[in-house]
Amino acid sequence: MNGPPPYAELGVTTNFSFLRGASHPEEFVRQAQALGHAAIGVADRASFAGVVRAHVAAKAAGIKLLVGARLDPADGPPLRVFVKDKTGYAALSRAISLGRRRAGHGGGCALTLDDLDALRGRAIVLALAPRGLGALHARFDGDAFLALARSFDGRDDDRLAEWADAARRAGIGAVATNDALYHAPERRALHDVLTCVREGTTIDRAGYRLAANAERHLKPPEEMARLFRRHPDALARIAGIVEACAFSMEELRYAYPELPGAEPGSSQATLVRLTEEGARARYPGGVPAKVRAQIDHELRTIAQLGYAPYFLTVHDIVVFARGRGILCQGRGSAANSAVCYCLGITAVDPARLDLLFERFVSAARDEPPDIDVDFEHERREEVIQFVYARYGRERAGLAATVISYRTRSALRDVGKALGLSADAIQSLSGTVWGRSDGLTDGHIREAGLDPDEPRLRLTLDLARQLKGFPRHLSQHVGGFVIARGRLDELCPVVDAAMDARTIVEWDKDDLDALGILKIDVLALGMLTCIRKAFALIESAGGPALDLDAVPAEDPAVYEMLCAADSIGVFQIESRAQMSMLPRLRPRNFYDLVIEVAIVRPGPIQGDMVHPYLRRRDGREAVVFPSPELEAVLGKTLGVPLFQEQAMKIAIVAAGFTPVEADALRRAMATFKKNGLVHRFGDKLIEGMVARGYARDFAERCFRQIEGFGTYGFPESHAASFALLVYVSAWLKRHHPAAFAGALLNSQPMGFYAPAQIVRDAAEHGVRVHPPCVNASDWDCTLEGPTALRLGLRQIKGLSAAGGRALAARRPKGGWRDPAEMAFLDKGDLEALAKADAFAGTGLARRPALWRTMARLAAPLPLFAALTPAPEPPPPLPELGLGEAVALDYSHLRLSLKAHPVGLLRAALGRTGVEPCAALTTASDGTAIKVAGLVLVRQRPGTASGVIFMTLEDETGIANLVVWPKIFERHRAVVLGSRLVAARGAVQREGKVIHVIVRTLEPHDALLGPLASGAFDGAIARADEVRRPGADARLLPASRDFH
Amino acid sequence: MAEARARRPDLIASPHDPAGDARTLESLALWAQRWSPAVARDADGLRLDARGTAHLFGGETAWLDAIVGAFARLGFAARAGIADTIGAAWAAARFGRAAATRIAPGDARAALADYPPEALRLPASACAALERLGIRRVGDLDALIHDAGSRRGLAARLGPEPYERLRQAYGEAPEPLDPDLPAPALRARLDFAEPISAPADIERALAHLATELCATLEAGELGLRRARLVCARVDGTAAHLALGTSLPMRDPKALVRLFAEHLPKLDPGFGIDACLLDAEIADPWRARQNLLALPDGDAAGLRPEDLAPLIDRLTNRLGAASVVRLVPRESHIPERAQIRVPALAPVPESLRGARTVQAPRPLRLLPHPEPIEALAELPDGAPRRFRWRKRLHEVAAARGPERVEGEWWRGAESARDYFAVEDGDGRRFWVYREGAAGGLRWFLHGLFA
Repeated sequence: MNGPPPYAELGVTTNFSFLRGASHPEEFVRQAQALGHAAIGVADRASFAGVVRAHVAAKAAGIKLLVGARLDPADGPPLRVFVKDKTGYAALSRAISLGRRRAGHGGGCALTLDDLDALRGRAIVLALAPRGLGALHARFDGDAFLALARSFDGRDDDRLAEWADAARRAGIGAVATNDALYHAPERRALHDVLTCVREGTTIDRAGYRLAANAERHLKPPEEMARLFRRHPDALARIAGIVEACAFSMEELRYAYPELPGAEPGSSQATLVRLTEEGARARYPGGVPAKVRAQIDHELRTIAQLGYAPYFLTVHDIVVFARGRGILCQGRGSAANSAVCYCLGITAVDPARLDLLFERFVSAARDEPPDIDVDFEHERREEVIQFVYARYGRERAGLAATVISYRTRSALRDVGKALGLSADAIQSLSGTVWGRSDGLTDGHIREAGLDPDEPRLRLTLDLARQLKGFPRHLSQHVGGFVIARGRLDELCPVVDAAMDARTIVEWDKDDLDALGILKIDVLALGMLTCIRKAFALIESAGGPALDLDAVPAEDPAVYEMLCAADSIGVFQIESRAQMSMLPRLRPRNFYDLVIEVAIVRPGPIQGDMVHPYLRRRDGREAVVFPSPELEAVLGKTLGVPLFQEQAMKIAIVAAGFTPVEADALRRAMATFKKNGLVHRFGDKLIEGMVARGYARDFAERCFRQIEGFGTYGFPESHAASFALLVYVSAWLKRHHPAAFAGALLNSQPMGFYAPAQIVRDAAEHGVRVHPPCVNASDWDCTLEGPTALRLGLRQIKGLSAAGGRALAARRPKGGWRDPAEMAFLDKGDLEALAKADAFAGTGLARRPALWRTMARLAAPLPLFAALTPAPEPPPPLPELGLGEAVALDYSHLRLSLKAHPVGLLRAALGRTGVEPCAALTTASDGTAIKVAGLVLVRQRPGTASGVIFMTLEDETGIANLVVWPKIFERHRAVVLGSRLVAARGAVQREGKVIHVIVRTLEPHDALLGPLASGAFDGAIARADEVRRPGADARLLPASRDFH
Repeated sequence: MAEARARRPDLIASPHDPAGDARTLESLALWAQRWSPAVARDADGLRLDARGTAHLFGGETAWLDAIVGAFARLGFAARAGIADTIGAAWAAARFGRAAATRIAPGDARAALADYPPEALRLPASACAALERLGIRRVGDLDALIHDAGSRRGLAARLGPEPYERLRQAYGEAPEPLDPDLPAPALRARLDFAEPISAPADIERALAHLATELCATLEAGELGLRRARLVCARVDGTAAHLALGTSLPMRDPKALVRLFAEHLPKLDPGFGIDACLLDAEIADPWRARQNLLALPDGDAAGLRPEDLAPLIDRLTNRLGAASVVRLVPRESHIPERAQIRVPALAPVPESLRGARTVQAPRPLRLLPHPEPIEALAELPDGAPRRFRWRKRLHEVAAARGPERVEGEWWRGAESARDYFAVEDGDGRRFWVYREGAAGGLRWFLHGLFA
């Protein structure tokens, strides 16, 4: 037995020391295990952000993890601190929180040795430089060490001897480490690149900031023994340290807090009481037996798992919001719970749907439930601040989101570090965008770059390595962590970039791994819009409404949706949804649930949509591959559409255990672990084949499960959203003026620009009046149930403060002259004039502009009578209708006077253009030429490069399909023109009409000199050329154009 | 750019070079003096005084055509306008229908009426404001301004400029041609009635220019650091000669001497019709450039200014590349850790602030590492003995290894383990091992003092 002494690397800096470490915590852990290390000590710079990942990996690899951090106290040497026990962990977490807050947003961690007093006896402290060792020894006694590391700079032997000597003199032990920055030497190049990014320089200029060699990786125990053969005691001390640091992350017992002021231990009883009360209110005619059983089952499970305080907290928050008149509604898997429904957290009636509580909470799974609640986006901050106030900042914090390098950002940073030109980087990232399969030389040449250029190859290779690296921590969109004890003893708490917010360093996955509950306080624009619509209806003398008071299952609403009349309606207003509506023909609430879920890349990629539609239309027999699947797939006619169904298939058809199915779901959610999903894939497909299912059916199931990874909807979630679909559709059907006004008042949200919303309202019989200094408020208002007055907010360039002041200070008789508005600044006055908002005072646009161009001297009250009457404007050329419309678009983003294309009808007609309305009667296959303003250009990721464009003229819209070949020929027109004429063939499929484009012509010149920017405002928010990646939450995966 | 590329993938883009444009315009201004003695530069064009000149070319129209034609032969698409006033001519050149537009005397008001307000040299913001008011022609503005009340109103909104520019264009307000070419202040210039081409003539001209320039420098308490001689040829091209000095200088004779060595290389083409001598860089006379960084009290007692003329002459005679100094460059690869820079050239921007490496380095680095045979312990032991240039050295003491990896971004380079070793005679060497067992090789790279 002459093996080397056991070794554990106590100097590991992971990539959670941003731009310093060049390997993931998981990579370090796996490598340490493979090399036969006895343990691994991870110590990132004043952070625990990577600790949970290291812990999870270490648990899986069966290697001990020492939890620690690197600190740089102002009055001592830099330290690596490893905690011995739970008290030490809490103290270190608090110290990091303190130092980070003290250092402020500049970064860093401002601490002194005194701040580390609580760690005395609770942590091992390794000094990284031989200074102040005496003081360290005095403070930490036998827990203080000096870390030795070779740097291979030619002077190692001398330095190690010197340092060991210094340690001896101070009475502390020296410990061998290798100060690792990456797990394996191959990462040196990436580490150099990270150094360049950190220093803001290029590889050619980084000079001595780069490391001379590649030695800072994990090394085998034999090699460490050889390197420290003259310091055997430094190696021998490692075992003692590893033993002393007995702490494991497993010991963190997270306790969910009871409500402030609640009797300890009373939570379950309170929950039962509130649930029963809620149930009576929800079902005044008596609780249905099915629901009764469900409630009892849930309450039992909740009691067993001790989750009652969690439900009460969410209930508490929801009650607060309702009390403030803030609309809210639970989404996600919580909608599977009858208890949540009775508590008013969710709105999906368990009596109406067949839901799966186990998807939400399960005794078999040691996983915390996850309740996500949407609030009005404009008022969510009130809710967030309520939570802080209720639990205190010591106990509540937002979860973090790890912002990681994506393909593009990795290419950009690596490219910059390697000195590529901004242009080359741009071309490169344009080429790789949306390609998961890697770049061929052809792709690179296509981008105008030389694939043989070595720097290019290096860039691509290093960017691939960098992809997935954490870049910084940001705050989660709304996930709150609330602790019973001090939160900063659980995890470091730092200030967020946004004022008045604090965040913990762990993200969703970290919290899940440790079983820590999180409440998602999310923002949803549609809730804001619905609340505003309710208020507008009431203001015009209509009924007072709330979410529950909207009449259910109104046939008129479904009638409207079947006709694809859904502009502005939540979730189903996109082009893809609109073309699905007439095919699906929703007739009841569950059809809406399916409509929401079906137009998603998951079902589309899994080729589930067409079979479902065929079966629904009775064109295909509804058959089930097996009786056990009939139970799973019955309500979707044998076609899996929801995430839950995919899970159940895995269980009943492929023999997965519920735990495995859940692991599969998790693997799907974290798409970065692609390899993992595929391992499950083989198991699923083989499992199904073994049970007698057709291989192609099995593969289709797997493809769909894969698609769900990023964009799948669970049924419960689709049902929650479908409720808002129904409510918004009901508002649109019965209160179009209020609905349009609410949409405009909630901008920016949804797919469409104000011009389309207003036009759609007008087509539904709403009279729309322009913004006016004497009639408009800041927001849009109703002048009667079907008359909408646009708000001053529509005016481009008008400040909110100015607009609100104008409405608030309006004298009884109204404003008579711009001179009375001296409280407005010149910019606001000009914005009003440009938008023709003075028309109500008798000033036409140009004279008003003339008046407002000069600074209006505010007449002093005393001398008001003496102030000379303003000089009348000179005779200015009158505006033509075309000019006025162009100016309207420029300054209001819409025009109520005329449609610009209508004014050009004669000119367009001469080139053979027909109105878009002609499409409704054109038969399939006929040739047609239409023209209009470009509203949307999209290239869905699921449509193999096809581009969808929507044109609008005064008679309607035309939906164009542009095949890639045609796009290449008319690239400049597609990407650049505002007024486009398209020639092509009509394609009809039921009520869905497309024009398959053969040629495109730009007609921007007809729009006149103002065209350059005037009509940009007409382009929808969903347009992907103007807004690459617009609202990714609502959009299916799409490839970017650039 | 990205958007433009998306629309036209075949787009060719080159960066905007305002300095280059200005230089081109300047040389064109020089060349254009054949059409008029008074040439001034605009931001984007030239102004020529036509008085007493145009008739020599057969009238204004012929003059304009000749100018546009001559530019075309040089490869420039030029537009030209002629009118009573600078303002009208400026407008005619830019907004006239033809490439050469003549506005007859007294016709400015009528001719400009249909031009857009931009033709009045107004700032873009004023043009945009006029556009919004519906004033799209100079004529509209003229009509508006006709009324005194409106004129006051317009001035209150857009300032006095529109009215002022209008009056200048109509010749109602004066505007000088502004002959001050934005030439460098430190410049001497000589025009020749007859083009010259003989080297002797050029040298005589140079002497004249040097005297004039040095006098200017003296008046300004300045000394020359870099000079440029520009010889404008009759065909619109120019020959350039530039040279630098290590210390500020202003001795005309020395300046001529420095240039004279290069004059034979200067190609006069079809003849030179003007010469310019520019002091491109001039430093305060008293400033001393401690370029050689000789330590104080150096044995030779040399001060920088003693050496400067020698360096200048050597450099200007042997060529900048032949007289060099060493500048540190941050590279872990020892032979790349310094770079030769011409003695007169400033330290390249990329090397400014470069540090020298901290690890011990030998005083003398061999030009190329020399292979040696060595005996050492694996994997990273120092050599026990080695043979260099046929002589065997027993190693008495060694320090190392210093491990230097290759610069991966320059291609595959293998790592080296450097050792500082001392032999039995007390001589110290810098040796390294490259490659691993099997392909292992040893080199000697330097000698310590």
